[in-house]
Amino acid sequence: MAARIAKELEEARRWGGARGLRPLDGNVRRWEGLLLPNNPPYNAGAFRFELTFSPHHPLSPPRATLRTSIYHPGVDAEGHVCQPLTSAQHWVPTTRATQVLQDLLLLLDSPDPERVLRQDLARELRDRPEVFHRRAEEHTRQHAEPRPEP
Amino acid sequence: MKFNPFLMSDLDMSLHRQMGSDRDLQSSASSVSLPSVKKAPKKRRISLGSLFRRKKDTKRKSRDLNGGVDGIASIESIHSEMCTDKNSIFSTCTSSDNGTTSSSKPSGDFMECPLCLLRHSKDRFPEIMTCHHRSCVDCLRQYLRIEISESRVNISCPECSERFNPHDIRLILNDDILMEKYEEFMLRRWLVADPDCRWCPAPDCGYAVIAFGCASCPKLTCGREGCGTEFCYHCKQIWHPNQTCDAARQERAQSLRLRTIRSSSISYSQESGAAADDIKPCPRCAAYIIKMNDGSCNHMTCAVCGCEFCWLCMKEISDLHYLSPSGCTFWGKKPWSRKKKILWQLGTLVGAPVGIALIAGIAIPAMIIGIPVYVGRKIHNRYEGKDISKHKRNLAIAGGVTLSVIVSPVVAAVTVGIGVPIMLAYVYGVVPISLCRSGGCGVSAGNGKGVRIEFDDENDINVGGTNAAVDTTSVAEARHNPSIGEGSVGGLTGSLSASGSHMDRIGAIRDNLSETASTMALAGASITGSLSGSAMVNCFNRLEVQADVQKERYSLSGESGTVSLGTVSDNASTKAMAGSILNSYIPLDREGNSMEVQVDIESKPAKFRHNSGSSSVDDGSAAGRSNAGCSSACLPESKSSATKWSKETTAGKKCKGKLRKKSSMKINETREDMDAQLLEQQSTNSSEFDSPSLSDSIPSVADSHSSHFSEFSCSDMESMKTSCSHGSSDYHTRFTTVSVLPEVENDRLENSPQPSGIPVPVPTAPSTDVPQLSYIAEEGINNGSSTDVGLGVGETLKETNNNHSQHAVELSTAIQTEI
Repeated sequence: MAARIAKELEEARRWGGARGLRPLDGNVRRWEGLLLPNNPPYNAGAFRFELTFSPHHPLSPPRATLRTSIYHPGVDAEGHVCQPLTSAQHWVPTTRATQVLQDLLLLLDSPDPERVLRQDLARELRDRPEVFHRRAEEHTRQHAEPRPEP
Repeated sequence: MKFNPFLMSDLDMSLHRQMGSDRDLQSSASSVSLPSVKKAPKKRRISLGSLFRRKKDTKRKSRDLNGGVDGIASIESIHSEMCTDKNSIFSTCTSSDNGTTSSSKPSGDFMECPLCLLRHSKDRFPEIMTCHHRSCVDCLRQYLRIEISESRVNISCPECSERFNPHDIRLILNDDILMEKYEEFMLRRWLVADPDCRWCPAPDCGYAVIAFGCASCPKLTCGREGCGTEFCYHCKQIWHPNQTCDAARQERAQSLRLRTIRSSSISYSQESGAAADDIKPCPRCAAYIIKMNDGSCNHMTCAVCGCEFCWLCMKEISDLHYLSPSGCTFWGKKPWSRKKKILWQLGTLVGAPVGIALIAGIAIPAMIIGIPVYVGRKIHNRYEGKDISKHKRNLAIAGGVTLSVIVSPVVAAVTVGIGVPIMLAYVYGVVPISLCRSGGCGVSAGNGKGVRIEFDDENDINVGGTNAAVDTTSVAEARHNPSIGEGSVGGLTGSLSASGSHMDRIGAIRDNLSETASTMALAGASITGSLSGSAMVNCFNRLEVQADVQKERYSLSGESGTVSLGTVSDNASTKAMAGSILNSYIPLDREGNSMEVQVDIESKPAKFRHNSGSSSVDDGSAAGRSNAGCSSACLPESKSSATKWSKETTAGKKCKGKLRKKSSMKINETREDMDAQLLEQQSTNSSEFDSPSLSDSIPSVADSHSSHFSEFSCSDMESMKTSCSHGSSDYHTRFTTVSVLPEVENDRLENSPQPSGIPVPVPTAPSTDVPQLSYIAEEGINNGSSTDVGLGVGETLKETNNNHSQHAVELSTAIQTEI
């Protein structure tokens, strides 16, 4: 349903939470953009993401992955995120791409102990949050993309 | 995402069910009581019919539908009666898909479809009975199409969780084929839940039987006209009179293995276009599941039975599975090799006390020193700003420090005294329990013996898996291994490795080939052929023991057993198995023979006497029995890798418990202690593999070999029969029917006539045994199997005293050509 995806792209751009939202390689089924978290320790950088839609969209869920390396308990080394919203069990076709992106941004801003892909980071965040924050900021400084001008 | 391609292919082949005709199904699926339905007034029906006819592509189908089943048509009409005002909507929906219809009332209302986000006129939104959500008919149709194609029959509204009424589905879908698919899947879902449901194992037959109360009389007959296949209630395979299910399975495996060796195509699974890795059967219901290798999560939920399992290790899992050191991660592509897993587990078990000791050793002095220091500092800081004389402050500090010095050891002791036991309990209690509960990941109680065996097995598996079917090498290996006469563990493990590797190889080939074959065949194949799974380690042990015994005794038990295997059994599968076992095990030489014998012995200690002669038949039954656990465990194996082990544990639960119990007792008596470790690990599956003392069994086996080969009596046969009590138990009858067997067997795989008595190369056997062997062989020949059989037997007889490997090669080649 390319028409729907095009509409959703419009809608997501209007949302404004993702910068530079555009299809990858002209393929409207693959979006990329930049997420700008608001909360420390990630608010110093911008993180590139990709949103891939299935051919059966909206009947199958899209998949969001983070392309920028991030020190976050809910994101693994390959950029996969734990997102129940887009899991096969919970996906409903009435969910919009904007909602997916919002959920992703929310996850970055507030790591969820239920959505953990890296146990070590989760433990560190739980037991020694100051260490976690320090390391996350360091990592953001080193690996995240620079934030574009608002 | 997952779907069942095999279910769909079955669906295409079968439209009829033993329970009723298509029409009935459709009617019942429509969830409207048919019998009481009255025919609608003709006028109405015609209008509906005319609606159908308006459709371009389904013209004929709709006519059939209309004129065929009155029930359906009347349902339609009843529905239309109920929703008179919606008739027009239906008419518009069922008419051309291209939007505007002339007959519908032109409505000015437009609605946005939540799925395609496009605005449509309201008449494009079909009414759904179960909820108030509305989507345009195109989106709904697409949605239903996808759901049904992926065999998800609990289709609910895309926006809420209310299930669709099947009638709504039919109307929206407008596609008879898909609707039939939907009903087929619904039926299958229901049948899967019925414990008495048995599917006909004939290759192209999709009929099922509800076998209520058939456990005692397990011979079932397919009800489809033109099929009439007879099959066994317990193992769900072709009917095998006078054989246990396991024996029959083994036989099938043998024949499978032979065909694999013969043909160059190793992997049937490749034909489907997906790698063997991508298709695995559900551990609970054995429904094939394909997982696209797109890096998606390994936490799978079966679409048919709903069981949750890990894709990597194919075991049913809890939430803890990915968090414990089992080697499986959410996104991992490969489970840990058994070695890694074992290393990890051992490391945990061994390193834990060291770690705990270290922690305790550091914590205690740290606390004893740290607490006073901390207290002193605190007091110092507290008094920092206060206006107290230095003397008083120092006094306070000293007092505090003294107090803490007294208190801190107590605190430290308490902490250690509580913390260490907790940690120890976790490491040695929870971790092994969770690991063992998950099905024997290869961790014994951490004892060296068991570990060693596992490693050997691991090596064997690794070795075996990499080799092609070079049987002769295995023969050499096996022979070079130390004899088991002493029952030495080392020797055993050595020989175990050799046999294991060989088995593994065979099994690997077998598994690849038979992936698409019946699971039973596969199981049999894996059991007999590969014996590679960890559960098979026990078999290896057994196998080796037997081999040595036979070596020592020069008894014909091995060969004779195999020979008689082919000749004695009167069941097609038995014969095939015998032949195949002989064939496949010729290279194995002793191993193969011994395995047969071994199995036999274990399953029936009372029958030890009949080992040699009866090994054939016994092998059939006993092998099957004793391998019940293995076979069932190896059921859905497509790869003879370590993962098979874990699969076995779960899949094996479905095996016949009856048989397993029988053999477990026997095997207990014949097992060696060193097997105990391994056996414990597979306790869920292979109760059979408990460890009796090997050394004890050897003499008994040997004795039985030489002494009772001739005592191959009918009574033994009878007693060896399992629940399948049908068929003649006459010894001679078995011989006579030998030749007929291959044709009868109705495996899915091609049925090549097995030379009935393809005898195993008879090793240097005592003269007393030879006559018996020749007797049996002759029986087979006389009883009119193909000349090939006679050839094989003759060869065997001639080469009684020849070199084994040479003979084995010759025989195998001969056999291959025959086949």
